Amino acid sequence: MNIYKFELKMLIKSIIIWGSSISFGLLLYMAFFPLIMVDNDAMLDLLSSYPEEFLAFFGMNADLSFTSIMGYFGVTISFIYIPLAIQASLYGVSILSVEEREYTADFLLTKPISRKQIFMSKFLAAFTALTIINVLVWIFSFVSLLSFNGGMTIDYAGAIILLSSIVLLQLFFLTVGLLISVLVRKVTSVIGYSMGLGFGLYILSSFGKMLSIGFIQALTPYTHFDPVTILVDRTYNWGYFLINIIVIIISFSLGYFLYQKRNIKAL
Amino acid sequence: MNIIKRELRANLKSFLIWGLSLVSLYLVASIEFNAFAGDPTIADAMAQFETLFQAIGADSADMTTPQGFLSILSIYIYLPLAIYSGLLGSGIISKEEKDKTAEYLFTLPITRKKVITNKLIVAIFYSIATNLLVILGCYLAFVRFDPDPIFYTYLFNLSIGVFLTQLIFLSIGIALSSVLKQYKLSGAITISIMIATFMLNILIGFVEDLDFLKYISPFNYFSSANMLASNFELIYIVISFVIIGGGIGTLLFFYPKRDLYI
Repeated sequence: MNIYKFELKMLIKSIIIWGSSISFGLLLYMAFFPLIMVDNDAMLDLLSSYPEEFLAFFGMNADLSFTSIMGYFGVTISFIYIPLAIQASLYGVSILSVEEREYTADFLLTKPISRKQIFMSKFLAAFTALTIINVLVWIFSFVSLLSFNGGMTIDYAGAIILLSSIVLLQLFFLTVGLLISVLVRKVTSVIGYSMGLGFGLYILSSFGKMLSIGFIQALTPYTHFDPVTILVDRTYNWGYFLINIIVIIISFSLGYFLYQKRNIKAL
Repeated sequence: MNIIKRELRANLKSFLIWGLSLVSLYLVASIEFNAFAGDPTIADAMAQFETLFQAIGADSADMTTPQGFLSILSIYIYLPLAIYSGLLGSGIISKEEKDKTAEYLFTLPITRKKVITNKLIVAIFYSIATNLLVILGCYLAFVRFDPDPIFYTYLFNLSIGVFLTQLIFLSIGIALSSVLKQYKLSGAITISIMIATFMLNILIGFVEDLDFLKYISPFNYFSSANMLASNFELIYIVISFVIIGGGIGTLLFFYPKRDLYI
């Protein structure tokens, strides 16, 4: 419990910075919707005359144009995914490895607590921090949907289904980050690893989506929970959903297991 | 010279990882390009699409030609290489303090200025190297489609545009790690600036009224449409050089006087 409290206290500043910038970004994006909205039916007519793969190349969807409120919301969330993922990877990569980097591992690991407890407390502290951000995204999503809808109808059920995916996206990056940090001998650059994970997968998913490459889409949570697709289908792609859950479970348990056996570098 | 050699070796691995993964990404893209190359129905759809793009105020390029296809994907050259250079710049300067090797390095009989100049040279060298590696990768990936001469001009422009973008973030990184007391944050701040300007750039694409903000986002300075048209706007080149000069100047002026945090 002490470790949990301590870690959370260490994260407070970071939670405030990430929370405010993500909320600000979300509001900023949504605030401009009234300026770009156009006659939606005409747009959908126009879009439906193009082949699906062709539209995908330009990041559009024939059933939900970004000139409608829900379509624009989907696009906004797909960009909000990026900082969410980077933050989760950052926490995942750093929270265990920080002790070795700052030469505090000797201190912590000689305390009368098991490594299991250390791992769980740190994981839960990071997860709590991410959940605070998640709640903020929920709040500001609904605030902005209500304030900037330009008179269009809001699909609340769709929005709820979409926002529910955030927790899985965060868990994916958090657990994979944790796994990476126990797999490598020494984490030299936290930001390097987390950018590679969070941003690298984003770039990969953009390629997968634009070029309709199936196996790439199966790899990244950005496409597992592609916002526009979720808003159109109003349900998840359960195959991808399952892949995502399996990756989370495997990397969590592997990380947990490897941390027990890890050869910690002492001073 | 020893420092240059040492840094070249220390940063080789990340250079290879970044460079080769990007090259393989573009190789995959070129395989998918087969489906589009010279397809008249898509070219036809493109022509109609032009009106839609104009209606929503975005640029488009003909995706059935190698240069058009590459130009639409080119943001994914700018972004990763900007990340690479930004992290390289902030890391190469701040790592001595981070790894507690600053005492060792700066007690050697060599001036601080010389140390950081050498580090700067290595950072610029690797920025050029990744740039050339990726451009060469794109060249090899698309040359089999027998592209027009304009493709080669585009690749050349792209290389210069990407390089200047890299240098902008490199200089932001080195400047931050030489002035910030919390040197550990320099990489994070560089990356935040990058992500913020990237997301701003997309928002500018959506909303015409925000056009005046385009001077803030380096990703807009050498946009793919401008690179395709060989159109380097003077104002952006001037801004880029001001940022790059400012960053390098900050490093050379402040770092020699820096109160090292050990």
